Amino acid sequence: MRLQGSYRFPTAIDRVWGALMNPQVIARLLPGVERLEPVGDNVYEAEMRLGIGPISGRYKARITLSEIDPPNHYRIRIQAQGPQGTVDANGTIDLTADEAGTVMHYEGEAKVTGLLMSLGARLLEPTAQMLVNQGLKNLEALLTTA
Amino acid sequence: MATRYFGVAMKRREDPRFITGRGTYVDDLTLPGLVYAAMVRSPHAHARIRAIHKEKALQHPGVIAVFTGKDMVDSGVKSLPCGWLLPGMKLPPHYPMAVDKVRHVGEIVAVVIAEDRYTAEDAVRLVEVEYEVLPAVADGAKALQPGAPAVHDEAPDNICFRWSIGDKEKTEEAFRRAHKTVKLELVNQRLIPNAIEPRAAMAQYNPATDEYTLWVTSQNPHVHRLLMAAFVLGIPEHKLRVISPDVGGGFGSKIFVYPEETIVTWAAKQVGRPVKWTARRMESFVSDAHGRDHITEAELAVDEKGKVLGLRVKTIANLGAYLSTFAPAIPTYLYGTLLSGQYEIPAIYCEVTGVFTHTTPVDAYRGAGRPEATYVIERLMDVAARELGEDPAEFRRKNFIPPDKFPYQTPVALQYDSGNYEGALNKALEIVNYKALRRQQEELRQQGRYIGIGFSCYIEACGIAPSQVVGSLGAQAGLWESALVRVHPTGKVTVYTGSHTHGQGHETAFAQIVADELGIPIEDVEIVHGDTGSVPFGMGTYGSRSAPVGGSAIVLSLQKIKEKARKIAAHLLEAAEEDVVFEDGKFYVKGVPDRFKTFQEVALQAYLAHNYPPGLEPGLEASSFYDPKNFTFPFGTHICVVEVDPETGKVKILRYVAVDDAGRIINPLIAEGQVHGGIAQGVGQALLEGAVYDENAQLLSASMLDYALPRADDLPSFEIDHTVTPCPHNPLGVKGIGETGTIAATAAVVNAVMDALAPFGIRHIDMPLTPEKIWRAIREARPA
Repeated sequence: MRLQGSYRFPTAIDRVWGALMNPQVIARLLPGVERLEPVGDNVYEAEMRLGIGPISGRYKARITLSEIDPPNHYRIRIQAQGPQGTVDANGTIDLTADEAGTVMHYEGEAKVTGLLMSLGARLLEPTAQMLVNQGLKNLEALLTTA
Repeated sequence: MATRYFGVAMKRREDPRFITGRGTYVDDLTLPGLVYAAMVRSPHAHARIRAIHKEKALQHPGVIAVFTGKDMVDSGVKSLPCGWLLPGMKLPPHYPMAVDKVRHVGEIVAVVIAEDRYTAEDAVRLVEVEYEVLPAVADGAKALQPGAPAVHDEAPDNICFRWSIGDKEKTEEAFRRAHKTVKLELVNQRLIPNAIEPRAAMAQYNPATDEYTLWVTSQNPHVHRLLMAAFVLGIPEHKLRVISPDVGGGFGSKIFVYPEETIVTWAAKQVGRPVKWTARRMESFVSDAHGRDHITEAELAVDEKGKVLGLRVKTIANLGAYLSTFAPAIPTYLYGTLLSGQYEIPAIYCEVTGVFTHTTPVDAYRGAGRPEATYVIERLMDVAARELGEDPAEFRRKNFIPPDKFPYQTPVALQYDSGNYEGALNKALEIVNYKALRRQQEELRQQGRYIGIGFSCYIEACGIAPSQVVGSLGAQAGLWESALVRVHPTGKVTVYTGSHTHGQGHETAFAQIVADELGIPIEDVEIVHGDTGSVPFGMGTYGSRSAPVGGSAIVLSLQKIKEKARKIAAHLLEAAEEDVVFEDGKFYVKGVPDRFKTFQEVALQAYLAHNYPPGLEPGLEASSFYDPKNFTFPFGTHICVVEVDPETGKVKILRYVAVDDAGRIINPLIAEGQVHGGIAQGVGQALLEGAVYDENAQLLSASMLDYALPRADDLPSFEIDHTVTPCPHNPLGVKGIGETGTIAATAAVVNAVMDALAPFGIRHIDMPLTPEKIWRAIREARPA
């Protein structure tokens, strides 16, 4: 499964970057995160509820940030394992400043196994895209109100 | 023999119990103290197992035990056996549960035993398995590429076997002489059987007698007992009783020895309580042996008169991650040997490469190899006719083996015993009104409507099988059949057949044979099958063998019964044995029909033995083991008429005509039902079904939502007819009809769709012919 897209924030790049490096913000951005704790440098452990329709469950996830190049780029890997399968997602986030604010470009790929894939394959991509869009809207709201 | 029953379209005797919910399937059974097993299955197609943590599951209330593959192997459990060996083939071990690595999605890594099914399923989620995920490959051709991830260390190139049949040099020579050659690349896609009753197993161990009983959804309980007891679990055969009560469909998928029944049998002793497992439908999708999955390159050489000179076939057969019980036989001896079809082809050469992939094992599925062969030859014949500008029916007729050439030795090992291919073709053409239909097709094309007419002239080798022949080809068993006929003192009869039923109506068809042979009412005949505790060793049901092999064994026993009864009757009638005639259930002295003893009177005397021939043993029962002399060769012509909507790509089947020759028909109603079901499965493959794996070897079509089985509205009302060319070498003259529909239908449907699409210049589309594929092909052919 592949995801990619762009999003414009009417906010300066440093603020966007700061939010994206804040674990509390990441926890609010990612779908279904119930707990997120740093366990090392740029490594977090999380508990997430993931699901598509009836195929849902609580997943243990490890989130690793790498290639950190403030305030422009990082790579994020999410490895989640749960009763209905596993998710291994790997992607990049790139920020560019322009006169009106900041443009974010994201792209990534996820390998999904188990029931999540075999029952949910057709719904996986639209669902993931929906969750990403939601997360980005939340982030924008956070940046513009705070 | 009077035929009051044979040939009569009787309703099935078993149907009242099935349609009123009184059948007994494995999952209906229960035992005191029964506990339930649920399987922990791998979500990965290929991974190393780093650790399995049982603790949380074991702490869950109601959980009795958790076992892993290592637990089983440490206790001495062996690999599941493969029942058909080819020279030089790789045979990596297949343990009931994965020990070090998992090799397909759905492979079992642990089993949870709990007080009830719900607890067991819940606790499956508490077993934590640490995997190291490895790269995987699902596609047979990709698995052969250099650098593809290896499924087994024993086969680093993923090749299980390379096999060939026919004369390579002679075939090359035919192609050098050819006026025209026709080449096709075909995919015969992977199918998932989907029997209506999921697989199930319940096992009990009795420590007092050291005996096991296993109730299992099996098409061949004795074979199950032999393979599981002797080769896997090390249980002495006489200490394991296998019972297969009513079985709700199998289509081959219930022939094989699977991990689950092995696990519950072993676990029943470990936990000291009976253990049951029943597959959830999702488990069936990943764990029932799949069918087909061939990638084929085929070429036909034709001379200037339109006679076929040679056939060259190269097939990659995807075997899945492990060798299922009969897997190696299907794409080889049940495939390559059928490539001559109904045609006189002087030279044939076929090469098959059997390949391991990270997918569910592949084995026999209705037709097993023969639908694949029919699809290759019948698609090629159609394309050749079109490219030579000949009518597809006439091109076939020209190349048929003529009736005076039987027995006919093909270049691919089989000797066809009988056949009249033109007879079936003519009848089918007549039913469909071929000439008028072609005119109509032309007229409709003028109006922008696209109908197509597709042929499939198929041959089948069934009645599996002569033991010596299959033994020389690699089968690890003889494939004869047994029958024990027990006449009770009142003349009622119980027949114990070594064949089995998974829904084909044996209790009716076999009883029809018995009642006629003995001249007794059918109500007096009981057919017993599926229990190693009461039935003599038998080989089960597959390969359309029950009537020709199982039925013939019954006839042999009935002959012994009648011989002995005649001796008793002669004594009672005070006549010479050779003067006693048996007719309509009565023994009488030749020419004096008034002086008779009924079969029932004779039966009673056999047990009383008061007034009895000196030297003759009391009692009246006989058993026989029938080993067929040859395969049987049903054949026929199927014609499918379709309409394709060029705007949507949707195919509608307008008519489906099937003329089959299965020899003599015991029960036309049952035979017709078999043909209906077979065609439905063939149509399913042609238009709808397909197992789809993604690039990580995840099965995407793992539920009824994503795997399209044919439904009533996908099918027309079938037009069924027969020709009758009796099988010359078995006592009933029957050939078997369980698979004909599936063997014929894919080619008939696909040929019809390609005929409809001919005006667009479309030559071939791989199955399933979904609206999307057809729509795209039309768009590419005719840019908008």
